[in-house]
Amino acid sequence: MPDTEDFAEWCRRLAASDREAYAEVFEALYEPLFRYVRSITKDESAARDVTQDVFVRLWDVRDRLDPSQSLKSYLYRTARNRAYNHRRNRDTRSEKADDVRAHSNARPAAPTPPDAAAAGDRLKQSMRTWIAELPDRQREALVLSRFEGLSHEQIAEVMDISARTVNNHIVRALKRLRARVHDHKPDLLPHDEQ
Amino acid sequence: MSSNSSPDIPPALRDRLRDEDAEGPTDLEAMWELLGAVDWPDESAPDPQAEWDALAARRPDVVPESDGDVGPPSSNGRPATERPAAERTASRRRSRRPAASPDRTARRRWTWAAAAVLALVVLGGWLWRQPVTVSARPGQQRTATLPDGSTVELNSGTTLTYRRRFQAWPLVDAGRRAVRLEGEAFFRVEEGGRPFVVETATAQVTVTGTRFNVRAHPGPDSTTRVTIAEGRVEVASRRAPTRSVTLDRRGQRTHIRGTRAAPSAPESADIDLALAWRQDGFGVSEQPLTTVLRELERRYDTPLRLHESVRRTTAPVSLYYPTPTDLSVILGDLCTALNLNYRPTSRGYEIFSAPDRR
Repeated sequence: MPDTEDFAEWCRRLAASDREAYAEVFEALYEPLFRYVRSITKDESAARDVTQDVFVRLWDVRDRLDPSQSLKSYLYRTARNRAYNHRRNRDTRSEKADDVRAHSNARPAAPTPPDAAAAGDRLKQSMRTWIAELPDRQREALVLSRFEGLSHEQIAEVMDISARTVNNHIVRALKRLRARVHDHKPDLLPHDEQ
Repeated sequence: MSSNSSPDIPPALRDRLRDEDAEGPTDLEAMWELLGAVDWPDESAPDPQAEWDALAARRPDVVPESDGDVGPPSSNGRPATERPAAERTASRRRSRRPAASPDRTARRRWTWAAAAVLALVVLGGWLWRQPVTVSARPGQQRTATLPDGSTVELNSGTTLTYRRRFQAWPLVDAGRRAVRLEGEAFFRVEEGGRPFVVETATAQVTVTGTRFNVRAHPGPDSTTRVTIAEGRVEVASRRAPTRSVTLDRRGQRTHIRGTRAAPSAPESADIDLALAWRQDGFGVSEQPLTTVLRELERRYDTPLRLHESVRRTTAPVSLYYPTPTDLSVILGDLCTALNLNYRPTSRGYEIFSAPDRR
């Protein structure tokens, strides 16, 4: 992930309609933004549309960017708003389907007992499932922090909450995941003394 | 190292997790680390180049169709369109996931190693430069031998500090043998090429080889008293070293009150009384009652309270016990002399005025 200074520099160049800077931002952030959007929309083609919109919009507002603010936060925030808009629109269209998803308390099946080589992959797979099952905000905060490398302050800007709340979301997410891991693979974490 | 070490746990989060479980690193922290094993994202993302092309088709004003030069920059600088799509994607993947790049990981590891070594060196130097401290707690006395063989006897409630081995840096002798004194100590200084200096809050006492007593308890009056037993010492103001006096006769003494004050003219004192503490005795010469009590508290590590019935007086008091003496005996004598009484309290003694006219 590029440094903060890179983003400030990109802001200045974008304001000067520098297309190369635009291409560099695209190159650096397309994938992470796409992943982030998809984690919200849960739909690949919607995520592509939304992510593309985000970049189109970036060009349209290029002369209004504030270099002192985080370009990265701006992009994630725009992506987030659009992704949620998209999801709301879709959900109202298909409320029934959504109801089933929201009210389902089914837990994922426990991974089958380890068999050496496949065990690691299975753990990763379970972990991804568990992350996907986290409540939206907890998952978002965790993913942005753990996998996308945003600082608490950036996440706070993106999610429009305080850095303290970001911390709370992440802690809760970790607790949930810990409970899942304890259920299925207790030996992966240090044991409690109690 | 794969992506599991990056990014590091944010400090705010780590603090919070430690708060959750004060016992130390928590299994929530372990959970954070464990997530590194998850290869995020799992599903394949669309090819950014294809998306870039789609963007170009949609907004030719943003991305000119002749995109040979203005495509997303490829990692080796060649125009992206000249390379086969597979190679392009592979190289771009590498450049986009810094943690997975072996070069960068190795470099980072070396940077960390270098930083760790540097930190150790700095820490070691810092530790080495920490002064050596010798102290006698209230109620205790002790004798210490200094790196040059000189000996110091510390009276109760005294702290002495000096540079390790009297060296400025490892293997480099400091220009002088300097000790810093808070409290009272008797020095027996070995002859040596370098001057031996005792620094107190207000004075510096310079000698070569001799025996002398320095008394410099910290406090509001911050007075340094020097009494010589043998040899010759020079006593100077700490901040104005030109103001100095020389003591060269047994029993001579001087004092300095305040950091810029000049030393008092040398006067004769009872050396046995000044050094009574070295025989576990006790001696004060013409001190106000409050000073005497403070001295006794320090010496016997016992709180002494002055009841409000006692009129504040500055009348000087002298006491001399050449041999070990119980505190109660001293208090008894003191009260008899001043027409006061004393009674034990939970931890020490209280001195009160004897009801007179009765």
